[in-house]
Amino acid sequence: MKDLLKINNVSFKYGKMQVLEGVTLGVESNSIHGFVGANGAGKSTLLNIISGYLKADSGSVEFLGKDITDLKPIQRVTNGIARTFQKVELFDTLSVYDHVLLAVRQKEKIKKKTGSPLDIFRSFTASTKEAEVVEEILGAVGLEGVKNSPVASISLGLGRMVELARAVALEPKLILLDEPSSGLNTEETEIFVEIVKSLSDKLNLTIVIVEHDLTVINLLTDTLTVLESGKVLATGITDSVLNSDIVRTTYLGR
Amino acid sequence: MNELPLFIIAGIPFGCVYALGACGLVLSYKTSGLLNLAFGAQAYVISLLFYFSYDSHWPFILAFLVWVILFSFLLGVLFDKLLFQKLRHSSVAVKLVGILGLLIALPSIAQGVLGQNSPTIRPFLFSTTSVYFHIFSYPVSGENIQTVTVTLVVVMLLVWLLKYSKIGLTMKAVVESPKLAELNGISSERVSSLAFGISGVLAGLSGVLLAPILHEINSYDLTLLVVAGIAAAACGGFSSLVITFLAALALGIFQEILAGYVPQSFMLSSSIRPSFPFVVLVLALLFNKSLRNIGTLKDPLSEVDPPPKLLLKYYSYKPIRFRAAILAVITVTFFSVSFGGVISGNWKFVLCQGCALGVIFLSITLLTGSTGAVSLCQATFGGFGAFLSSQLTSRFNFPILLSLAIVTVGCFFVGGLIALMGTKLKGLGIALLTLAFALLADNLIFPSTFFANGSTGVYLPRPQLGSINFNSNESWLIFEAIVLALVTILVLIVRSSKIGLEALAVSGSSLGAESIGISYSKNSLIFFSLAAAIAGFGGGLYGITQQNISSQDFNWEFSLLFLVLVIVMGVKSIEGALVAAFSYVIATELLDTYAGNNIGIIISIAVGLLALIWVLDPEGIVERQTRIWRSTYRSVKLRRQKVFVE
Repeated sequence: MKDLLKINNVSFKYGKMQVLEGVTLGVESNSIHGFVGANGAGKSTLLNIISGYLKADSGSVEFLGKDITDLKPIQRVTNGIARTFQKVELFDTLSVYDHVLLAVRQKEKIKKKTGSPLDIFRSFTASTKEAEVVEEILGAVGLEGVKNSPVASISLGLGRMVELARAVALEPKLILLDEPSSGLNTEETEIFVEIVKSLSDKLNLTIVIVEHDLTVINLLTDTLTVLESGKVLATGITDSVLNSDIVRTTYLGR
Repeated sequence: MNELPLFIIAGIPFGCVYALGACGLVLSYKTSGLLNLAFGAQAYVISLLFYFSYDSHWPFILAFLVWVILFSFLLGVLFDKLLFQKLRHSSVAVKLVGILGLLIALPSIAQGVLGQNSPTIRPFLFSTTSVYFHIFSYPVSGENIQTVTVTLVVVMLLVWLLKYSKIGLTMKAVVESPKLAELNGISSERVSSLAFGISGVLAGLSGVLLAPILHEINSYDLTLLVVAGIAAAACGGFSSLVITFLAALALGIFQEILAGYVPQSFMLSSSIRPSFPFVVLVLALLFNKSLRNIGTLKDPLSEVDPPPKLLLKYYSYKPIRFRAAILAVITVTFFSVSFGGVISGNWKFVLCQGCALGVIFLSITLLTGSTGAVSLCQATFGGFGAFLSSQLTSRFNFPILLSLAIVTVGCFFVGGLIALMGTKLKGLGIALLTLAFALLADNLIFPSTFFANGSTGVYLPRPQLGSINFNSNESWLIFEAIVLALVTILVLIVRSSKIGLEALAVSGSSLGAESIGISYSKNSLIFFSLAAAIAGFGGGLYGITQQNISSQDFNWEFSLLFLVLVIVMGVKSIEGALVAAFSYVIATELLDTYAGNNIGIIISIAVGLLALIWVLDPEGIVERQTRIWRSTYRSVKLRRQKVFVE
């Protein structure tokens, strides 16, 4: 199958510290690809390079066969890349519903290339069509019960769901999830895994996930890359990577 | 004769004072993440106390030890304990209001306590007037030697303290990561108090040394010492003390070179020298990448923090509250129209001022209330509106309302230009950029005959629409009340629009907004432009109300005052801006009647203290009251329903 995302020989330094060195890998369409590695292995840095928040010192990133290395984060969103954050980035004063509504509107803007300065005079209340889409997404991620709650009043687990719903509402081709189970309890993690799985199947999404929890990785991912000190230690089908000698000895310490 | 060496030597004392100020700012900023804009105000207070005591024949050593060392240190520690530590994890707007409260109140409190007369500046280490020796035929006087000697001794002590002492080591640990330092038994709060104490001493020293060079103790110059300090610190990226010191020295020297080479016949020759630090600050903000996130120091261990929990009561505010806002508009209009003929002429005039200021204040509601961005130049835009409208009318005979309309459009573009310049800046960076713009306008633009015509000021006629003449305050009040109502509705429409919702998203999390394709810079461009246009329009209305207006009516201090007033009353609601505007003009009028000459001092102290009290529980006074009334109304309603069911 053709790779949706290709990372070619990417290197990155924070000051004098080499965080990524010659990372090359591909992510197939409609698959869930995981990144694991010790703290400081370069997982989140790689995610930030894919989403455009950091610029690689060398190497390139291709998405849908197009070189996106020099594109800004917003341009990558319009190309079909959405993401969540390790430390949830929600809009403090808005409700859960407003979060999804904003993303639905952005999707329309991207699709139809609409949106003009005159939007300054158009009411933010959702149209019937927009409301339907928002409700559908909220239902898919199990947020109907808290849709009118301000995000400041919901749990971290639900906050991660809101981020996921906001990303899904953009109808992207690729979603990047940055340590989605961090701070969640076992029950919340299980629910999150279930929802990601069902969304991925239903919407034919490609997902890249950075995660520490190997249970989540085992349950969710089709393919996996293990990073060690900024280099690819192993990459391939999740089971075979986790059972490979080099990963067992170097990363899992068995 | 080549005069360059002379200018260089003349600039060194200024550079030394700036260096002391800049080092003090960097020291406190690095350990707390707070940029102490009240640093210059501290310098002003200490220099007043020192010279008053010294003038009253205290021995120099005693006055120096008591005020410049001991009192300065304790004042710094006290401010940190009572205010700065509470602000550390607050939003940019709250941090700014707290610090601006101090900046506004301190000089006025000092003037209130010590009187408005300046003490005599007596020489202390060396005789100020005597020339000790010549360098390149430049007469080196006592004040020069004094400044350079004290600076060198202090900088050497500072370097020793930070590099070789145990305290220096703990400070470095806290700068690196307060949380990690605490895990090793170092109290980051105590270290930051110490840094603010040392910074306070540096403020005192710079004030005491700057006074003899300027030959006066001037609240304006000393308060603005902070801008030169920030400009130098910005060149050093707010981290390296050595680069900061050298940059400050260079700043002082270039300032004198510039003053020396600009011909005296040039109209703005006297304004160029004091404006130089503002220009450097703008350039540093625009080109130094390390300043893009100034004011948001991040502890490497902050990732382990749970996400910040917002207080629910702050959410009780919805993006718009049509009912309350429209009620406010109707009240104002009804009040103005109905009582226009009843109240005395002077109070009609006061209400006219209130309407005009209300428009300027609404520009703050629109910008800061929607996007969270803080502009410290809204009064400056007001000045543009007033002065340029007058110029267009007097030079081209345009009707005043047409002039005002043209200038409003002009302000829209100038606001946009500032937003474009600061497109990479966030939070405090934008606030500093707008502050530098306000100071530049005060010094370079407004004094010109094309703007405010210096201290002489300009005249704005009242308009005439067909047969309706607005010369009387009564008719002008009705006109302004209608205009205020229209602007209020415009602000409401914008805030409740699609872009208004995007602005709330950007202010909540610019990173999150960017992840769904909402652009921070585009959003800030729209809101800055609109807010500038509204402020310019309000300034024009204010000018037409006053009819004679000068640059002093729109100086940088008003921008700070207006911002603090609106935020304290409630920046997220229309009611907040309107209550702030009318309370301000009514209080000013009452004080004018009963307090006479002390009006400025009383207002500054009141607003400053109000801001300082507000930061302890940052919810707008009007918004809090609305919330309380609402919840009371709800509980009464629920109780009635219960009784009915039973």
